[in-house]
Amino acid sequence: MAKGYMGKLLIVNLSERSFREESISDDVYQSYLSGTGLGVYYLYNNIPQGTNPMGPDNLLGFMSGLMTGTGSVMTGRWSVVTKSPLTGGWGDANCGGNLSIQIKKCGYDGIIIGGKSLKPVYLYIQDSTVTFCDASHLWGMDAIDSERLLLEENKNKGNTAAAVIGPAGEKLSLISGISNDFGRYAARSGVGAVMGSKHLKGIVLKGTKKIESNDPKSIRAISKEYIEKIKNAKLPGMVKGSMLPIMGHLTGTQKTYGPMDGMMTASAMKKWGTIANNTMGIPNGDNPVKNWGGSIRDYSWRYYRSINPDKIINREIKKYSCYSCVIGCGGICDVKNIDAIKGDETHKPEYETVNAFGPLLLNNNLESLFVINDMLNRGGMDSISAGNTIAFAIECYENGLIDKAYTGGLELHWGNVESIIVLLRQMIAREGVGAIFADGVKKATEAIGVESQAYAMHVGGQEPGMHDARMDPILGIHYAADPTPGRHTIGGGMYYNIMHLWDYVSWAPKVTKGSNKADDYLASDEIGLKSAANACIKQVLDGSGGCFFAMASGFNHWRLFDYLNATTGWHMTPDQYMKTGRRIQSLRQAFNIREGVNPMDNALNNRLAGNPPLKEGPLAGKSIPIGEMMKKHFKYMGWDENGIPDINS
Amino acid sequence: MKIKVYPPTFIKADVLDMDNYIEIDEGGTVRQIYDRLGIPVVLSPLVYCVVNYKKTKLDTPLKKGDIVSFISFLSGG
Ligand code: SF4
Repeated sequence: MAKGYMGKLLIVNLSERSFREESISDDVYQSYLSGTGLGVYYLYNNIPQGTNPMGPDNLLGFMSGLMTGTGSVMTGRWSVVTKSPLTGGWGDANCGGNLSIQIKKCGYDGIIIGGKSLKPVYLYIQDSTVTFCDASHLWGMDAIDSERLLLEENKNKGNTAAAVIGPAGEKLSLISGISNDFGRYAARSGVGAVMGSKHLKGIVLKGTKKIESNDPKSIRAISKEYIEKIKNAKLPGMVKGSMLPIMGHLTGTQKTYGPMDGMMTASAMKKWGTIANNTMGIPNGDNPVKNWGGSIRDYSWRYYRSINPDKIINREIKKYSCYSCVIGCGGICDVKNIDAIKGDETHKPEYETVNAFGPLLLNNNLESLFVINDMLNRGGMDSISAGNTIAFAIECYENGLIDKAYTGGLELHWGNVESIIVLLRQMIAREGVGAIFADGVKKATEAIGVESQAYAMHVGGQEPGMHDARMDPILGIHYAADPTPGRHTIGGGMYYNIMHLWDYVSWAPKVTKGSNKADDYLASDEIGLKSAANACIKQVLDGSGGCFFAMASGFNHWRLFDYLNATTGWHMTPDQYMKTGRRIQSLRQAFNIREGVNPMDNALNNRLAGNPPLKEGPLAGKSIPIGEMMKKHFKYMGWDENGIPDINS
Repeated sequence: MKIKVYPPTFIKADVLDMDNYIEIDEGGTVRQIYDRLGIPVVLSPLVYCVVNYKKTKLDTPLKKGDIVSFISFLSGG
């Protein structure tokens, strides 16, 4: 019976220039789904304990999703899985674009790459044939030009996709990522460095296989209902970007909350994409400012009006959607008149990039944000980690821990956009002082000294996303307690309120109108249950290939559990799927434990946890008892109080 | 009859019960929902309200089981 998945993995060994197929049993899919779940199942069993993440024994997996290509919508995401050189534990990164469908069309649910090539190489995979191609001519080339050339060389006739690294990955930056579709990034966990360590510049995929599922008619019906609602979700033209700070302020000052309708928030995603948060999150404290130590007092309207999302979409010439997406949060912008950008068009900067190089650095030069976005996309560096790292460098400079002699003449003052751009360029090229900062915040503290740790915003080695846990404490639990720490896309309190999981999952706490915001700052059982529910459902999502923003439109609209049953014919209940999510999450955690990561070492540092709290701004006085909250989370994940799971239970 | 309402995020909405339901008379309209929530109808072009995820007129009568949703925003990225 067809179940949406292809039933096998492609295993490639770069050292031996060999490849083989490995069949995966139905039981494994039912226990771990596909995507990240299948990835952790395979890597846990095939990466030897203590493996050097940059060595040939580390494996790098490109995983599709169980529902990708089945007629479902919002299910074109893919994941990279590996042992992370950034955290030393489990690593994964999730991405949109168009690669996922080609992995399956080649006949696989994932491509697992081990070994190390002596010379730069790229893989051309056409259905089940793998060709090892010389990539010497691409080595040193930026990610966007490399992808273009690879597609040209391999006669792109529409059904071809490529994933590549840029110079940052080649130079083994621990904060480098992997790009597809000219700037959509699997950016986190240092996955680009692992690819670079294998001398693998790219993979090119061209497949013709059919993807079959159990009940395509039902899948189409679910899709139709969702598409209809999304089509109707249109913000009136009168709603302008300049109103967003007011919305943010009003939302932030509410003392209570209730369940939300995700379909209504999808309309803002359609209009602006993630940049709707550029200015909305400043008045309510969601957006970190001045290396997480500032507030709207430092980045007032005089500053943040420059990053009004309307000013960004003024340049948008077309919308951009990942494979099978019907929201289209991305955009392609016209940058012809920005001389510092090569080419006429570029992907619209995402909120994470805008905030990491805007408010976090007290930079309000909008044009510079387009330039920086293009540099990151071409260079192949994670914008979240790079922005946090430069914020760290500036704070070290402003406090006299490093000086002009150390920086090679760069004056690293807040908002000094010229110096920020030069430092970023040097980080990507691993040149000059950039070499100190090219591997992220934690590594840089080792060079600068113990005093700099006070300014180092990382969680377990990974820099946090641009959302403040002092505003949404459940987000802080995920930053600290997820096996890939510092990730903003696991879940949060607000996302919980919108998903409506309680209507499907027996143990997920119901959110009712008038819920007290202050209770979210307590290490309660309810908070532990909510964060455990977020963590489990996120693994179901990543196993399915679903987009986070589909989840954020609510399961009452995007019917994930029905989709999965129509795809597989398993007839599992939402509780059973959540158990699957818990199993995947426990194996990700077990990978960390096996590699020597102590979960409690990943507690948020003092500043991130509000200890002491900020003195001014919307987060004044806010702190979160992160250690106690982590313990509650572990309890409801079924792990012991130190975060150690029993994967045999 | 009971109607489910998702109010704008910035409204207190004391008139809704814990599960966001409001009791209105048979034949009640969207305009009545505005009144009960205390949202001036002049703001209707801004607060973007839909019934069962479709655009609707202020005076269209509501039916039992209808869902009335207003504009809301979510911080995220
Ligand atoms: S909503 Fe955005 S990130 Fe998600 S699938 Fe669509 S374009 Fe990609």
